[in-house]
Amino acid sequence: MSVDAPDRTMTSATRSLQYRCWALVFHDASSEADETLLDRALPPRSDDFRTVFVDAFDPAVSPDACALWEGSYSAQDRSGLFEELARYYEHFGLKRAVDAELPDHLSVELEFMHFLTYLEDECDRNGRETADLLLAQRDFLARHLHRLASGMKNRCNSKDPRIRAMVKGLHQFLDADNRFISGALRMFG
Amino acid sequence: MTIRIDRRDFLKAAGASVGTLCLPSFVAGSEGSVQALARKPPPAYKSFMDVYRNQWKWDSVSRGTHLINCWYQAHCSWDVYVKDGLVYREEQAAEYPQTKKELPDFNPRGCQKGGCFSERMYDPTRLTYPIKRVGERGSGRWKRITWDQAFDEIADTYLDVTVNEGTDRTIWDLGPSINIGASFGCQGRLAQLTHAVALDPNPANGDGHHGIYETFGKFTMDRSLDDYFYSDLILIWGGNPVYTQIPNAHFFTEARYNGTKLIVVSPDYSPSATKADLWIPLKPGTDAALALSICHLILEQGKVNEAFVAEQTDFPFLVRSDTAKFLKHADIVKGGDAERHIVVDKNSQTLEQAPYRSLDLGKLAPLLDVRRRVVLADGKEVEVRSVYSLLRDRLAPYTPEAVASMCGTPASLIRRFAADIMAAKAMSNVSGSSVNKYYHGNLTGRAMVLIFVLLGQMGRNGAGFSAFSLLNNDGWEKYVYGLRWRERLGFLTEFGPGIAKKLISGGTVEMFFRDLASTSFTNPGSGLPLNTSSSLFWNVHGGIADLSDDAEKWIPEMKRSVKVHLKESLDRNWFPLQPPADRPPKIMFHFCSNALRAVRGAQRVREVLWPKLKLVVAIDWRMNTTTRYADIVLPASTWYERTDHKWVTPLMPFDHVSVAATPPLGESKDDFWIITMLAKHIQKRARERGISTVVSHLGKKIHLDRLYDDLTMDGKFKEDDIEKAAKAILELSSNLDHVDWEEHKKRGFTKYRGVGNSPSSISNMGEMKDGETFVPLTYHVRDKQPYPTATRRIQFYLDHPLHLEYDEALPCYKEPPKIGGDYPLTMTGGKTRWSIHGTWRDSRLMLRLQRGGPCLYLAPKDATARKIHDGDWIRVRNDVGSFNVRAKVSPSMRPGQALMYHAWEQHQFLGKDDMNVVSPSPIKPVELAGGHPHLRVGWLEGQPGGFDRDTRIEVERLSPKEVKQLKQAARVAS
Repeated sequence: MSVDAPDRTMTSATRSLQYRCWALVFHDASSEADETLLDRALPPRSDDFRTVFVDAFDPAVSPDACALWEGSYSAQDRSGLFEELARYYEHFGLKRAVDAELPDHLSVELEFMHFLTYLEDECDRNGRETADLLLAQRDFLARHLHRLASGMKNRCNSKDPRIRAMVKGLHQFLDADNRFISGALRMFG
Repeated sequence: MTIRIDRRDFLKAAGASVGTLCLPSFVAGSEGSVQALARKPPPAYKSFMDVYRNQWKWDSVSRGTHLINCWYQAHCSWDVYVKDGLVYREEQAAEYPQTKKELPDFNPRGCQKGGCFSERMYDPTRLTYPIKRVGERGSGRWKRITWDQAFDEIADTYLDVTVNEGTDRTIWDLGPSINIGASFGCQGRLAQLTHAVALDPNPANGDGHHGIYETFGKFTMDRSLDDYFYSDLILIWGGNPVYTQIPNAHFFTEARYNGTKLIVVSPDYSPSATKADLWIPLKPGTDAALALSICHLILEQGKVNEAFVAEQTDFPFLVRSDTAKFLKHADIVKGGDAERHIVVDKNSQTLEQAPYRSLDLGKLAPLLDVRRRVVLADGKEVEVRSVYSLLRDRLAPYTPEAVASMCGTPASLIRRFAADIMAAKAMSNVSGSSVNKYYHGNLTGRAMVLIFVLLGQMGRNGAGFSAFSLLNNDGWEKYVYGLRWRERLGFLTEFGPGIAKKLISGGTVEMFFRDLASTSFTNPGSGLPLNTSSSLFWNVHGGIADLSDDAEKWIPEMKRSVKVHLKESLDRNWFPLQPPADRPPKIMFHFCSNALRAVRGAQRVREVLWPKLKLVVAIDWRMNTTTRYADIVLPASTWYERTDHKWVTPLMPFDHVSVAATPPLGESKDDFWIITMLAKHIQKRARERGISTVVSHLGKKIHLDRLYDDLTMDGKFKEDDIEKAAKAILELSSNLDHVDWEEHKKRGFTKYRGVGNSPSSISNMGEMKDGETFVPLTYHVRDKQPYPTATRRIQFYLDHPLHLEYDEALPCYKEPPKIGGDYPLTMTGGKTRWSIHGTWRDSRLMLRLQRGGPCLYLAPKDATARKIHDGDWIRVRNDVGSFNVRAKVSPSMRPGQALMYHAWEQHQFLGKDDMNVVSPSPIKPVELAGGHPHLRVGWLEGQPGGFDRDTRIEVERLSPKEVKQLKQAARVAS
């Protein structure tokens, strides 16, 4: 698996789609593939992979799993973490869906980045300022998503190459996107 | 699988998805869609501090509690704070009414476990989707499956087993968290309709208070916490409430402000002992000797309350010296009554029948101390002695000086202790359940209660003995009973004649409902579930009895092996076992239970029982020791995610309700839904496979093809109707029928109006009045209603063959056995402060407050002698097994005592075995006594107990190399 670093040739729309795709990758091993995206981006998931996924990421059933929750890699009180995440989501007009994963779940945080980058694209297309959105992306990555991805990378000891590729790939992607955002912000001065 | 998120492949694959918004985890905060939201100008953002500028608002605050077995400290009402469908925090509700102005109130209630449940319910152990194992049992290899897949698989295996091998091959292992509310009601109905076997959870836990059961014919008796304020002496003996009853402990402090003296008896300088006016230390397991010494001094100093014991106890009853059996009316009069007991009237000096229908002696003045000869109906002359006379001789050797060497307690301290007891006007106790977990705990219980009885400290404000604590609504049985809703009305109609018959024959309502509970172990024709004793089940089917093959070495008094005693009792049908020994179980459902963590010697259960099982299903909200060895795990919702209510105790006589504050997390579902859906799938698969009915081993026709219809009472209580069922159970209750459901939910609790008719709860035998504290046993002491014993009195003389054979006809002290082998340390135990059973044992927050893992408390002297330092890894071993743990060297420990607080999960130990592996828990023969008017199986009581407190061990420090190897092995295994 390879990941391209976001750069100036990459639009916010593309980055948004990449976040969405990453969210789907880590959402859940057994859900039906997203009709419009995952069917084409990812091959169908096998029974075997479902077992591997549970083994790798669900600490309830596998003590050595690297959890998909940010709270697992933070010394912060979990409800305090939930609160800040909820505040981020609420600040941008979102509320948690009834059947959603916990607010610090990787897929939820990736989805939020999908939303922020989507907003950035909307602003771009409508001639609005995007600096605030880039700041929000930078902060959210730094305060939450990057901590989670780094924690997973350090904790992941799955022997399955697919899992290792997913975790490593995500970390690389977020690193790259972080650099991209910082670069873009420098352009704003 | 390849993941293509590089730009070229990705964009090519994604195609039209670029530029679309998809947010399944979110909804728009205000009206409209997320797409509409995205079209609006985004809010200003300069730094993360901006997100903190808006005022935080809760979406809702509801009343909740934890539907778990906190037992003596149950329950507490909490305000549960919700935002975005998640519980963020809880706060003690603290709105309980004060019983009386001069008494302390119940506020606030709640402990640190409850206070962090909002964190616990979302921690990494939480189960959120059904899983099926894909490797060997316990291998830790799981696959996510759908609910339909899970139910169909379970239903098919269930039908195969039920049709081909019988209904009793399916076992419901019920844990201590059964709520006697809607969830347990649903399970009870399913068990009742299918004649599957339900394990009575209490005996294997060692909570049977068997000595109290032997003495009172029941074991449930406890007071309300505010009644302790009336005591001028409280004995904490066999419990540790400052440590384990956090919301209750303030009542003892407040009583001390009122001048009450607090005396703690315990081997170690326990947290409760630190708050005492007097601490009585003693060797573990020698409590009976201490109690009997107090009794000796009471007799010696002429302090016996003769009026009380003559009326309330069997002391005046005559016993034949030739047979050691009670003298009965039929013995002295041809055609006389074989149930009536005989006393000597002080005034006439004649033999008289003891009053039968009432304890009221009328004009009769029974002599207490009798030794004389009587002529029997057949002309034979025999010596008879009163129980009191025998007891006096029995107590004679227990002088303080003699007992000092048994207990290690100075004689002067025993005398001081006795003086305090005899000076008390109103004496109460906090017993806890530790005493029962000693092999001779029954004798300790009998000796302790003898102190109270000799002094007449019973059935008054502030005075009386507390034992097993339970208070529940009596709507549960009515909900479980029968097929259709209209039969709820028939419940009382059907039982009415039975109750009337009982009353006419001199019985009591309490006796009737206790009989009913007893029949649920043999053939519950009453429409109640079929129960069996968990201790017998694990011993016979789980192979636990195998661990006690050396019991005759450990326990010198054993006349025959545990297995022979067990066989005798089963063969005589003293104890019914379901299924019988030759019909091994095939399906186990673990419901609110964690048997492989809790059962002493559980490793043996995995070796013996697990291979026989075709299917192991665990229903839980968290991964624990038992779910790890299951085939299918069904994720349950937590207590803040469902609306249901739960039993409490007289200590805190308020029914508590937990209101669903949020939807269940992930795919988890409440137990009511799970069980109802299971029935639905069994019905569906039965119809698809052309299966209609089977006949159970007890002759009942089981309608598999209409199981869901029957369970739901023809759709009245469907899978989503947990709250409706909870409400119905309350409305069916005679002791909560004044409750308005909506008000109840809003308030979170409602005070009970009585003890009700439920078989165990009714045994409290006292009334609940507004403005009054609750005092148990007043119906006996004040109103003279007979006790449910053979003598209809508080009974200290037991003429059962096993009691005679083992010299336990009267209370006595027996030296603690060396269970597990002749090793120098006695491993005691106790409930932990940091968890309720295993539920919080691996909670990150709770582990931070203690050592962070299993540890064994050792006295400095014992540690030093073995070159063990605080924090060292040690091996604990005896003849039965070994486990590894860290040492906690504590000066509060008595030399020779090693203390292992309970409920650690198996996976928290270093190595393959846990603390249960060294505790074989041999059955005590007298606890197998049956075929007797009151020594017989009953719900929660009257069954052989589980013991671990007399376990003998040795400990040794593990070398760094051994620790390294064990850690490496653990890593490989995981």
